[in-house]
Amino acid sequence: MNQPWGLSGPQFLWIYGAGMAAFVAAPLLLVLLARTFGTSVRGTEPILDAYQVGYLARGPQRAAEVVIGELTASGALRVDSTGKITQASPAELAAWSATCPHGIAVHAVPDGLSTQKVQRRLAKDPGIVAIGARLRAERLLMTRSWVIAVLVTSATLWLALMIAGALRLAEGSHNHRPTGYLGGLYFWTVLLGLYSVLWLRRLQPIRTRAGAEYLKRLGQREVAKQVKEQLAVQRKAEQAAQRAERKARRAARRGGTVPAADATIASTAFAGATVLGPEPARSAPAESSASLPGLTAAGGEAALLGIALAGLAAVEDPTLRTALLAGMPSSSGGGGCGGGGCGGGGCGG
Amino acid sequence: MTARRDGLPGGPDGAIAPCGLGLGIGWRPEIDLAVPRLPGVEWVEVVAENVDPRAVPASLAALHQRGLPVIPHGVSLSLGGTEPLDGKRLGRLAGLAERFGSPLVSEHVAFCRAGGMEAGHLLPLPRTRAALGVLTENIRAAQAALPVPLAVENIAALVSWPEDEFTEAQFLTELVERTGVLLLLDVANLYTAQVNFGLDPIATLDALPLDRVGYVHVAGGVLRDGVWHDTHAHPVSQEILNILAALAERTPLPGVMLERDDAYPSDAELAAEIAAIQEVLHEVRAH
Repeated sequence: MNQPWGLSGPQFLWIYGAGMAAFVAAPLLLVLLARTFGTSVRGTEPILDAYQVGYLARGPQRAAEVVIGELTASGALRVDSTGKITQASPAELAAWSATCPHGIAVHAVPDGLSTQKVQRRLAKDPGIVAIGARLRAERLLMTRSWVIAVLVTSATLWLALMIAGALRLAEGSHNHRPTGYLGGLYFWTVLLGLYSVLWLRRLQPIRTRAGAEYLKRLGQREVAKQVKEQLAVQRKAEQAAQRAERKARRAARRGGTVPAADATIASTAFAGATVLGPEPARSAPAESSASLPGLTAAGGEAALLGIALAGLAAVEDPTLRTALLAGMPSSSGGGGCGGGGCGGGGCGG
Repeated sequence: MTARRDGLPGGPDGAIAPCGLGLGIGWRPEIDLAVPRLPGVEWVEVVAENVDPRAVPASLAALHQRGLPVIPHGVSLSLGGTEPLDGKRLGRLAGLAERFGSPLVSEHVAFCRAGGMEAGHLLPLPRTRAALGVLTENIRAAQAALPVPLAVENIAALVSWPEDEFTEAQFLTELVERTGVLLLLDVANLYTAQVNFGLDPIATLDALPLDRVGYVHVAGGVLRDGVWHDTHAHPVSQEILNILAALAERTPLPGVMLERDDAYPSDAELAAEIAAIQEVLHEVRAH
C-alpha cells in the first residue's frame, strides 16, 4: 500500500510529535544558551541606576514601577487606597522630569489612572524606551534583532508544522484513513505554537549572560548588605547587654543593686537583638514576602533598587505598598460627585 | 458668651470649643491615604452621596475605627426645592449618621432640582417668605427623619434673585428660629457673597445666631472676571482666614474644617493649609 510522503501513519505521528517537542524546547534552549555562553562583562562593570536595573530585571514596566514607587514615596504623586494615581505636585513632577537622567516625562501622565495604567503609559515613555536601547548597547540585554530572529524562526517553524499537519490531515481524510491521533496532535500544535510565540514575546527583555550576572551580583550585594547591617545592630545590642551585665555584677559584688536605667538599657538591647536578628526580620509578617530583606532599613537608592529587583511589592511603606498594588489589577471605582452637588464652575457648598 | 442651646459641645473660652470636634478635613477618596497622616486632623466630613453606609470604603472605616468622628454632608437633598424630599437621599444621610455614630449631619440652604430637572449644582433660593416657608417645612421633615441634629450651610452663589425680601443673615436667623436647625457656616461662602454681591461678612456674622453654629467650612476659590468662584480647588486666601478669625472672636467653634474637592495638592501643602487655619484659631485664643 502506498504511504503518503513515504511515511506510515505511526511514523508520521512520531516525527510530528518530535517536531513539536523540539519547537517547544528550541526557544528555551536559545535563551539558556545566550545566558550561559554569551559574553561576560569585560573590564569595568557598568554602573546602572535603579531605573536601568528595573528595566534589566523585568523590562520597561519594572522601570516604570521604580518611577511610580519613587514619586509616590516623595509625595509628588498621590495614590489612593484603590490604587488610583494623581499628581499631587505638578511643579515637583515637572522639575523631576527635567532633572531625571533619562528624561522620563512623568508629568504628562493624566490623573486618576490606576497604578497598572500609569505603569503601562510610563513604560512607553521615550525616556524608558531609551533605557532599553542603552542596555542592549551595553550588551546586558539581547539585541532586538536577535529577539526578532528567534521569534520569527519559532513562529515559522510552528507554522510549517501546522501546514504539514493540515496537509496530512486533509490527505488522510481524503483517503479515508484514521486521523484521530493526528487531529489531537494538531490541536496541541496550534495551542503550543501560539503559547510558545506569546511566551517569547512576554519574555522580553531577554538578558544576556552579562545582564544575568549583573543582576545576580546586585541581588547578592543587597542581601549581603542587609545581613551585615543586621549583624552590626545585633553586635551592638549584645555589647550593650554585656556591659550592663558586667555593671550589674560589679554592683552585686559591692552589695548594691542594679541601676534601673541600666536594667532598662539591657532589656532594650536584648529586645533589639531579638527583633533585629536575621531570622525574625526575614519572616516579619508586616513585610511582603516579595520585599527584599534589608531594603526597609536602607536609604533611598537602596529602596529604589528594591523596587527595581522585586517590583512594587518592595515599596517600604506598607500603606503605600498596599495602595499601589491595589491598582495593579484593572480596577474601577465610583467616586465623583454622585447625585449632584459639585458641578459647573465651582462647588458652591 | 451665652451657653449653647443645641446640646453640642461648646463653651465660653477658646477659638475651638472645649470637647468640640476640633480641626477637620473633607474626606475624599483621592486623599484617603493622606488624611490619616495630616497632623492636627481630628475629624472628617464625608459627602453623603459618595459613601454608601452599607459599603463604607476601608480607608474611611479605618479612620472611624481610630476614633475620628465622621460627619455626613449631603449635597443633593434640595432642601429649598418645592418637591418632596427624596426618601432615599434622606435615608442615606440617616444611614451614614447611624453607621458612624455622627453627632450631626449637614446639608445646604439651596435647591438643586425643580420640575423634574437636575441642576447638578447648588442653586441659591430667593430669600422670600414663600421660599422660607418651603425650606422650613423641608427642614422639619428632614429633622423628623434624621436620628441626629441637622446643620444647614450658607452656599456660594454667583447670582441672586431680584425679589429677595431678607438678607442672608435675616433669612438664616428666621430659619433657625422656626426650625431650631444648626448652622454650618462656610466662611469662604461669606467671602464669595462679599466679592460677588458686596455683602459685608462681618455684618453678616454679627447678625447671625452664632451660638447655633454646628461647625465651620473653610475653602479656597479663585477670582475670574471679577467673580469669585468657590472652587474648593485653590488655596485658602488670607481674606477667608480673616473672616474665620472674626467668627472665632465672636463665638467658640465646635469644629472647623478644610474643604478640598479637586486639584488636590501635596500632603505638605494640605498640612500647611490646616496649619494656617490652626494658627488663626490659636491667635484668636491667645488674645
